[in-house]
Amino acid sequence: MAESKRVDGELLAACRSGDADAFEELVRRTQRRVFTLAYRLVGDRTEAEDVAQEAYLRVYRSLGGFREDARFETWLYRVVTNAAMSHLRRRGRFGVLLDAEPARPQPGPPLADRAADRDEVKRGLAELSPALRTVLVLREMYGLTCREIGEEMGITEGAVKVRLHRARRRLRDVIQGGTRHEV
Amino acid sequence: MKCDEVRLILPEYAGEDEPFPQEVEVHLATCTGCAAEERAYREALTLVSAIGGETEPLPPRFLEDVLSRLTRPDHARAAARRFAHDRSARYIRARYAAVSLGGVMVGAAALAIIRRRTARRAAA
Repeated sequence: MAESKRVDGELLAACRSGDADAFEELVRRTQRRVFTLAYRLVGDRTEAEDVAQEAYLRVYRSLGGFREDARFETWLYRVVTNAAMSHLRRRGRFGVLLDAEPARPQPGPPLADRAADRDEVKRGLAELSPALRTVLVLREMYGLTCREIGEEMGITEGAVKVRLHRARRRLRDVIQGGTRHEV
Repeated sequence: MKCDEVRLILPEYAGEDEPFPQEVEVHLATCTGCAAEERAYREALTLVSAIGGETEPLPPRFLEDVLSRLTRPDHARAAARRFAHDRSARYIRARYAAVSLGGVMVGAAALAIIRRRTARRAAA
């Protein structure tokens, strides 16, 4: 399995020319990263599989529109994000916005004292609403700017910053095991 | 600044390259509670970033399912429709081009005839 190999211009050109083997190779090289991003955005393996498949379908259809000057992986992540947004909207789970300011968390022990590990962070991410998890994942894990996230989600840069602020606070509260508040 | 004010600001700066405002820095240097809070944010986001490098195990037959979805009859039909649409769009564009070219040629011929007649009349 050539998952670690990058998708190069030669492979892309072959995919564009309709070479089925080349597209299979493209999927092989990117499938784990694509599935992982989908899973992080929707928080469910079965749904992530649907999102990832839908993303590949979109890639297959619109590969001709990909500009060579952009990095393929970045474009691919945007396609996956877009597919995840559509999925969450269809499920009515993306409208979970942040009308009410959450209650102030109760002070708890510092994170360092509780030796927080990766599982705790994963649990914290899973407990975030899709709207908050998406901005946090795209910003902290994939390094997208607030403007890029806003473009993908169809919201303003300011709205992204507000969600990011709340996502960080919520994550920190969940990890800390402090008072839970719905956002 | 008070602790409440500082703690409201912390998530905004956590994980960003931008430094804290001076007054927050001063508070963090003297308040162990807020400093611990700030460290907790930093650690949490460092862990989030570290998890970003990991990948999830794929569902069984993921690759096969993706490929079979691409070749399913309904997608093949959709692709054929797109191809037919592209082809008809190309045909329409070619027809417009041909009609335009014809129009230009007819116009040029009419102009040439008018000029020739005008020249003949002038000569007569």
